[in-house]
Amino acid sequence: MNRIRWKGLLSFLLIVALAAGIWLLLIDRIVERMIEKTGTRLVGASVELDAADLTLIPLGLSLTRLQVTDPDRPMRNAVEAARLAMSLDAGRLLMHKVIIEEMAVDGLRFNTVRERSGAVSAAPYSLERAVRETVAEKLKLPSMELPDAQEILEKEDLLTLKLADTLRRDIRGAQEKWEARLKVLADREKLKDYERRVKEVRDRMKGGLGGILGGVDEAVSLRNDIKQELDLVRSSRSELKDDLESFRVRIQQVSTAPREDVRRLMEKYSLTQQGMANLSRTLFGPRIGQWTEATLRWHGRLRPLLERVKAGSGEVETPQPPRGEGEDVRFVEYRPVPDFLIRNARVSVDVPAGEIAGEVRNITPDQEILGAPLIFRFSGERLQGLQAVKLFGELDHVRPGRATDRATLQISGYQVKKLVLSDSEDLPIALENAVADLELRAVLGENSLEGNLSSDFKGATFTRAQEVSGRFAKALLSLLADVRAFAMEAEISGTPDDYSVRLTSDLDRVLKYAVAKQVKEQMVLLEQDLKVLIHEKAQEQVEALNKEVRGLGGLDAQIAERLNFLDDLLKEIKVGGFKLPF
Amino acid sequence: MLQAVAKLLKILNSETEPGQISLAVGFSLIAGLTPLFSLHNLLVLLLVFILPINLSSFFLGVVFFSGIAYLLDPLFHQLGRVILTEPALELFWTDLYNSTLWRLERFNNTIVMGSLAVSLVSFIPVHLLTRSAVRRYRQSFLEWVRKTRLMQALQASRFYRIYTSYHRLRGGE
Repeated sequence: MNRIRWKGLLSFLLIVALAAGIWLLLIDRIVERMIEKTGTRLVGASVELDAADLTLIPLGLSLTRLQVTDPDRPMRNAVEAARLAMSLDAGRLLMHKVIIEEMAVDGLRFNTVRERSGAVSAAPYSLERAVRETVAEKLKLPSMELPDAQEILEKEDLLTLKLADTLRRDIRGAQEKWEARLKVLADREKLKDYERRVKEVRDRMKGGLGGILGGVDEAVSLRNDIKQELDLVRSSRSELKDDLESFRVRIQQVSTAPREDVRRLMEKYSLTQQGMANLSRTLFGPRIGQWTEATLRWHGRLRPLLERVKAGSGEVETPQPPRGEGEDVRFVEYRPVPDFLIRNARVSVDVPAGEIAGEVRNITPDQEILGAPLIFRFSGERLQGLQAVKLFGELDHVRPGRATDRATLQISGYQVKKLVLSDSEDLPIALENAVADLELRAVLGENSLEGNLSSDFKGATFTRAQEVSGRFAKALLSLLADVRAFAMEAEISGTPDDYSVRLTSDLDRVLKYAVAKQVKEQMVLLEQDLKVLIHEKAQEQVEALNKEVRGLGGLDAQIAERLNFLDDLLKEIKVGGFKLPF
Repeated sequence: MLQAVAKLLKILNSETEPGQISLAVGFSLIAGLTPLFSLHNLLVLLLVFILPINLSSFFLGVVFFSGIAYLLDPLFHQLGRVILTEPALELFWTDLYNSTLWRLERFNNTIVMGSLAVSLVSFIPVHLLTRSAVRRYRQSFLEWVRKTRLMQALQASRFYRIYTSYHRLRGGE
């Protein structure tokens, strides 16, 4: 028997050649599907590729129209690249290491529209942050409008009216008391009786000695009675006079009470300037918060490209591999190389303003093996609506657990158009036009976030005062109309999950002054209105009270009349035709 | 399925040497139990083509052992992990790990290692057992089978018609 089948060798070679041929025919499609599948799994949203072209000599790959869906907005691409071309290290590829020496990315664009939704049902690598409402939410501007004086008076109780009501009750009470007293105090019957007795005594004194002697006792007794009555009436009159005096004093108090009411109400309804102390934070803060959140969200999504999720001691359970796939056990490499590395990527980014070019180095999730951080540098000049832009920095994840990411963004001559700062109904403000220079430096650590933004705005024009309603808004925007340039500094500090934004600006000075002036004007007007209205009310009350007091004065006149009558009677007893011998 | 059984019977009943059949079964054990597109299977395929081995047996065997492999995958995974994490072998595996050829072979995959270990260890016993079985079948069992009622019924059946037509197509009697 032949031990070697040479025909078999030929068959084997034919089969291998056939397999290689089929592989060559299909490999482009296989690579395309692999990239789409892996990308979709990593991003959590659809990753699509129009075409992939693998070349063997030299080993290279070019991709046409890569679309990466934004997981938050499935009808938009977070990133779209017209073309990616890369050269691969063949030797490393055989060892299952994807090492891309050079990569060129052309026509990179952000936030492009998709033809169909790129949402997928499961997103296992979602690293989403919940949007922090406390920073990104609209900050409400405190209201700058004071309530109407009339509205205030409808709601508030006035001391003036309280005093007047109390006094009125007291006067009426006094009226009733004195009317009752007058009924028993030297009334008409009593006075007539006294008069009759005086006449009787006078007549008896005319009838001889016997009559005189008899009349003296009667006269003495009558005199004593009249005197007693007179004393009573005098003391009552004095008491009434005291009452009248006290009522007059209290009426005077009612007429001066409005001053106290005005003071109290002004204190209660005055506008505090606390909310206006840092108005620029109120205007710019939410926007800065939104940008910060978006940046942190994208940083979280890109994190798998910077470092691997490692299983700590018992922290993460290694899932069972799918059936038939097994698990790759790793051993020490004598010359460690990352599993995936892009050494140098030249990128050209298309933005609405034009083209920005740059490069990114050392893209790998195994920075600790590579020993070097990811570095990026982009710049663009003479762009539309933008003079120059520079973005550079490094993402250092070389030491696990001590990652530090740094970025600096410098923009000069940026034409700001209709930047809405506040869409509050009370105070809508937009920066209609300006030319801005800004520099942002940010450092993100494992558990720390620091950022500093310096900006200068020139040729600034804000929303025109005519376009808004509201007294305060008009006044403020009128003042802002004089502002042509301002600077703004923002400082962000804290942790990625809990940070604060401190913002200062030249505008604060302008806004504070405008607010203070407006507040003062409004307060003066309100005070005037309150004074007039409360004084009117007080006047009405005082007139009514005076009328009531005059009623009491009438009672006094009656008492005086009785007093005079008794006085005259007493005089008659002394002087009137008879004289007592003692 | 019927054609596969017919094929098997043809092989067993043919003049092919038992050694050729058993070698084929042995190599199909390796190719069937281990992941099909592993580097070592290229070597197996080469050997199968250039050595005097019954190709039909080999391909039948690959199909059969692939089915067995699916059932035994969890066992291969566990075994492979034990072998690869054995401290005494760590240096050896590390050397292989740093070699391009062995990385291409994916020896460090638990299923590859487990299934390859099982198939290599089983190769000689399977080869010997199969050779002995084929001989025995031809010597005694074949004649007995021919005489049984079952065989007679089979011969009258559709299965037998397919078998004989297949046999004629292949240039048999």
